[in-house]
Amino acid sequence: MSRLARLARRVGRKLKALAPTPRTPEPLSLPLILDGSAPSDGYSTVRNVWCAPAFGVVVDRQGHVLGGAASEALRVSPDLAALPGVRAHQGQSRLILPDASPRLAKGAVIAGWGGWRNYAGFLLEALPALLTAKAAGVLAEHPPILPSLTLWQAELLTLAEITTLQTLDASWIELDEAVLAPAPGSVVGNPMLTEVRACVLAALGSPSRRGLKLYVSRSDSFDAVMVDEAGVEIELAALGYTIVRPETSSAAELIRLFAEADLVVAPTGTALANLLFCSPGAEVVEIRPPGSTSVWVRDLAARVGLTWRGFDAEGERAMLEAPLDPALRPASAFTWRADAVALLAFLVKRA
Amino acid sequence: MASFLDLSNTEFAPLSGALHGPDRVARALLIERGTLVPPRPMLWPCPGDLVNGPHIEGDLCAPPVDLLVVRRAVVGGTGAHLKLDDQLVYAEGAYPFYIQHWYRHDIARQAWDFDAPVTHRLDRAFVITHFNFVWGHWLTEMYPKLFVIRALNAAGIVAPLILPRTAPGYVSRIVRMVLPDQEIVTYDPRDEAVEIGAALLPHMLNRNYVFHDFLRWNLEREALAWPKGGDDDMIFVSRGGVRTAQSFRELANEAEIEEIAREAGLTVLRPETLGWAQQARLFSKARLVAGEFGSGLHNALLSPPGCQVVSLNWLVEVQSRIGNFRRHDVGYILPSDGEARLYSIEPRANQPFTIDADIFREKLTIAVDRAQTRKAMAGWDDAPFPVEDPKVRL
Repeated sequence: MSRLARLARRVGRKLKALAPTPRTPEPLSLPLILDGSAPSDGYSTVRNVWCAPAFGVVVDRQGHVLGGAASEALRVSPDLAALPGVRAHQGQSRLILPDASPRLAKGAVIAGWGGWRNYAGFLLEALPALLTAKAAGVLAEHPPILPSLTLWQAELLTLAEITTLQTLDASWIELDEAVLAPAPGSVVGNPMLTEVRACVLAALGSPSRRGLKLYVSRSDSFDAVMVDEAGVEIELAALGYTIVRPETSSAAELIRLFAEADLVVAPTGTALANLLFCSPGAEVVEIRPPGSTSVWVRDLAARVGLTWRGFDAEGERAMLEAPLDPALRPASAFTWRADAVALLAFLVKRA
Repeated sequence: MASFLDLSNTEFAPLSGALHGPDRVARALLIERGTLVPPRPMLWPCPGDLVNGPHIEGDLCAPPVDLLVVRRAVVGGTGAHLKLDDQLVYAEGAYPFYIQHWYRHDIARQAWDFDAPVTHRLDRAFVITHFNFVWGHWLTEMYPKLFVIRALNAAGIVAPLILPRTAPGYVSRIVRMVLPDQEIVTYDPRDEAVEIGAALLPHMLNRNYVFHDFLRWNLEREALAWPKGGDDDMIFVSRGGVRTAQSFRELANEAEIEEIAREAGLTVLRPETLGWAQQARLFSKARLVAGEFGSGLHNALLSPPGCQVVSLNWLVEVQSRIGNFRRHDVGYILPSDGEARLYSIEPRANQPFTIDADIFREKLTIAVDRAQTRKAMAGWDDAPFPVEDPKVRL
């Protein structure tokens, strides 16, 4: 290679140097209109829309985010940037239109973010919403659009006799015609919970035992870690409690156990959605972390006719600070101590 | 020994002072402390201190998270290493320990040293890499820094990210996935170096692979984008496609082992044939990950609590540390002759080994059974309830 050619190559490299690496051409995208105007009541029908089945989010061709089921996603991620294919930059969210996506003729979009990622969300919100839509005749022509189901979701749907489904393992799909659910209302005030309870218990048959005392463990969880839970479990097992480990159970097994229980003792957690299946008159002791203000367990217990008692742990929550991005730390990323002795005293006194 | 500066103990300064103050070197504390990452029992007893010791010993407390700022530094070489007044820079939060070992003992100098002249200047840039772009090292030592950058971006601190043009293609692709709007600037390490007014070196969110909760929160946030349904949640990671002439160990009865894995219901996967998004999705819902100890197995960093991890061979403590961090159950199966095939810096001949098929079948059955007991409720508590909780995660 001549000196001139070497020089030319070197200069060429220099000219290219430090230029930002060429980005791939910007993909086709749709600016999203996030005005938060989800309908509060009644089903609506829309045509020619995009849908993210795992989030309950529907977007029309003008970019409007539609449907009551989208409200959870909008609460969790107001700019929807947490959704695959959505990019938020300088206050503008855009949906990157997928190159190829499944296309369906008809479907109903009923359940949102929480239902697909949390047992209580599915049992207390998604299932009632699906049963409501079924009762309204919506699902007959528009089978619900669902993401790939976990076993417990599939099990609960079967128990609730919701069997005509369209499950899709795709981030976004196209829908020619969609029926959209209204925005969800109060969780434990939903009248359809009665129907969920009845359907599921009927499918499972009558309880074979009564009078169980349950302790529902959260020892497998990273969230709201009760650091002295092992000691609590030892004490309660010695007192005849059945220690329930939901993560190695199944939905049907959990429901049966709750249906057979006279007393449920548990730290606040998603497993307590199964109180829905307890017999009226049963008793629940909710072990609440310091500073807890959550009331959904209490309200659910009241709804089912249970006697609820709250054991409010003393002390403080120990948590890491994440000052740069405080929103990142999950609200449940803390540890706490129930104090086994105080809890045992509480359990004795309550009687 | 190469001359290098160890900036690990630079005194902390407020973030604004570190970013804008006069000091050549400054360090800002971003997260005050980490938590203890306690060891978990292994899936089965493994013989010898070599495997058991590092599983439970050492400083198991995650480190504080900091941001190192080095002013008027020069970046160059194939790893975008940093020099301050002609001396290489090392700091505990920004680089893994072995980097200073390599500096100190002058090991493979061509991998990290550089003498190209400064050809370009930048006012400020993030520097996240070092020379070792082997996938497992990228995943544990560089990838976590992207989440620190994302947090800094959220706090209004932005800067280009500087990469050597010779970095593997996956680096910029993954940067773009995590940080879609991140400006990337490259240089040619053969004859260029870059002077940076303020080089920002984010923390790698671990110390000796004892990872910080901040990484977990980010990984969980990423994983929330995908529901946990569907199949392919028991994975055998094959290294069949990644062996090179430089490989220092080789599973000689790989075909037999992979067939046993298939019979047990595992999906045999060659991660290098999949894009990162697909890998992340698969590993984020995996209930069982098995395979030869190596980079592919380290993808279990993304796998949820309760995942069963079966490692064939043992190299270092990294898989144990990942398992303790993500609350996996890890079990090792050593080569049939009982000798782990270890890595050494000096080039060595390939070390073929076999895994006893009967033992693998027996141990895999244990792991599969344990994974199956958790299958029915997999993904049941991934997100908080109720969603309208104003303090909801994300």
